[in-house]
Amino acid sequence: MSTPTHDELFSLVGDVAVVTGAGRGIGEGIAHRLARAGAAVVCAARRTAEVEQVAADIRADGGKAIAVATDVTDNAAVEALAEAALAEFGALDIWINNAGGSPVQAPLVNLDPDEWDATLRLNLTAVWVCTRVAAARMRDGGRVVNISSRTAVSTTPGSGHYAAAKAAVNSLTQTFARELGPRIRVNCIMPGAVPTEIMMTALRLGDDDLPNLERRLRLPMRRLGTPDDLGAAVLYLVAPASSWVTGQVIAIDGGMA
Amino acid sequence: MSLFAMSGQVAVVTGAGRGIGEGIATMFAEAGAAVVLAARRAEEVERVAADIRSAGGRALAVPTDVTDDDAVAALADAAVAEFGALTCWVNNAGGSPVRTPLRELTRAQWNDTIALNLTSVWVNCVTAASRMDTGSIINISSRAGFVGVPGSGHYAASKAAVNSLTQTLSLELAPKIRVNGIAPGAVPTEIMMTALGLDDQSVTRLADNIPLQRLGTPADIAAAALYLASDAGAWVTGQTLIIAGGR
Repeated sequence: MSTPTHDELFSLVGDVAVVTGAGRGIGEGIAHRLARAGAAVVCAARRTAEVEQVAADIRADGGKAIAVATDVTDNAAVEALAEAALAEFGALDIWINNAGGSPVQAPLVNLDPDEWDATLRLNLTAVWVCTRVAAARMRDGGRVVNISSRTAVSTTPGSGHYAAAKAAVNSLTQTFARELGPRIRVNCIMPGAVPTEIMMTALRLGDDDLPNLERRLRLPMRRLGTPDDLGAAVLYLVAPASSWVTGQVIAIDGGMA
Repeated sequence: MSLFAMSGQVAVVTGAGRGIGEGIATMFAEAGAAVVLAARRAEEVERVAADIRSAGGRALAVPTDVTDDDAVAALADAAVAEFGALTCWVNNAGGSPVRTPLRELTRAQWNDTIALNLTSVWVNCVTAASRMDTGSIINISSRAGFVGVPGSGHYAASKAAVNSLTQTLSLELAPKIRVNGIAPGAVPTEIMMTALGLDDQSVTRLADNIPLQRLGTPADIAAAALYLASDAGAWVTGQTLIIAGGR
C-alpha cells in the first residue's frame, strides 16, 4: 500500500457529509470544519433559520452546503434527510450524529418518566435510527461519528438520564463498528467542557459563570474547549488519516483528573 | 492543511530506525517538522534521516540507547542544539525479544522488559519535559496493554503501565505540555511478529479477525500521532488512542 501524502490524509474532497444538530455550537463547528476539508455538507437541525444560516455561511466561505430542517426523533424525517443528501450531492459518505440535548435536570429519583423517555429518544434512539438509515445509503468506505459526552464516563448529578443515554451511545458505537465493518467505520467523541447551551444548562450555569470556569472545573489544559477542537477531532476520524480506526470512543476534554 | 501541520516543530522520535518509528518520523517531516531520529543502530537512523533529507525534509540522526539516562539527555540536548527548540517527543522505542509464559520468565528477562518499555518512557518524558517550553509527548504503547497476551505478559504489563504513566503525566505537565498515547494493534513489525510468535503465513490470517479486515501500517499510526501532535489536538491530553482496525 502506498503512503498517502499529507494533504490526502486529511482531505474530504468528493465526500458528502450529513451533520445533525448543525444549527449551532459543536455541530456548527463540525460542519464548517468538514466543509473546509472539501466535503459537501448537509446541515440538519430542527430550527430552520439556524441551519439555513450555517449553510449560507459555508457557501459564503466557498464551500458546498445545504440545510435540511430535521427532527432526528422523527424516523420519516431522518429518511428524508438522507434522501436529500443523495438528491442534492449524489452520494452519502459521512454521517455525524451530533444532535442531542438535556433540557431538564433532576435527581434520578425525582425525574419524570416522560423526561427519561424523551432524553433516551433524542440522545440514544435517534443515534441508532440515524446510523442504520445512513448505513443503508452509504457508499463503501462510509464513516459515522457519534458525539456522546465526557459525562458518559464520569458523573454529573442531576444529569443521570443524559449520562446514561450517552454511555449507551458509546456502547452502540462499538457494536455498530463490528456490524458495519469493514464497509463503514464508526467512532465516537466524548466532548468535555465546551460551553454550549447543552453544557451550560446541564451544569446550571449562565454567561456570568464563564470567566474562570476552566478553574472551577479544574481543567488541566486551563481553557474551555471550542467547537473547532471537536471539529478537528471529527475531521481526523472521518479523514483517510484514520482509515484503520473503528469502534473507538475518544475523550476530547482538555485532560481530566 | 495548517490544522495538521508540524511546521515550526522540532520532534524527537525514538525507535526511529524502522517500522512505526520510521513511519512517524517520515510523516512528521513531510508535515513540516524538523525531526531527530534516535535508535540504537546508527546505520538505520542514518538511512532514515538521509531518506527524509533527500525528500526535502530536515532530519538529524542521533544513535541512542533509550535505557541509558545520559544518552537520553544527550539526545534531547542534540535536538535543541541542532534545531533550537524541542516541541514534541515520541516514545516509540521498545520491544519484546523474549516470548515465554510468565511462570517461566526469569527475573532478568522481566527486568529488561520493564527497563526498556516502561522505565525508559518515564525517563524520556521527564527529560523531554525539562527542555520543552510548550509541546506534546506521545507514548506508543500497544493494544497488548489492554488485554491478556499469553507468552508476552511481561510486555503487556509494561505497556499497560505506560498507559497509566500517560494519564498521570498529562495532569502533572498540563497545561504547557500535552501527553497522549497510541496503542497500535496488529501492525506487522518485527516487535509484533516476535511478541505473538508469528510467521509470514500466520500474520496474514490475523486480518480475518480485524473488523476492518486488514493489518495496520506504520502510516496508520503516524497519522494518529500527527493528529495528537499538531494544532488539531490542542485540547487533547491524557488520551491513549487505540489504532487497531476495530479490535
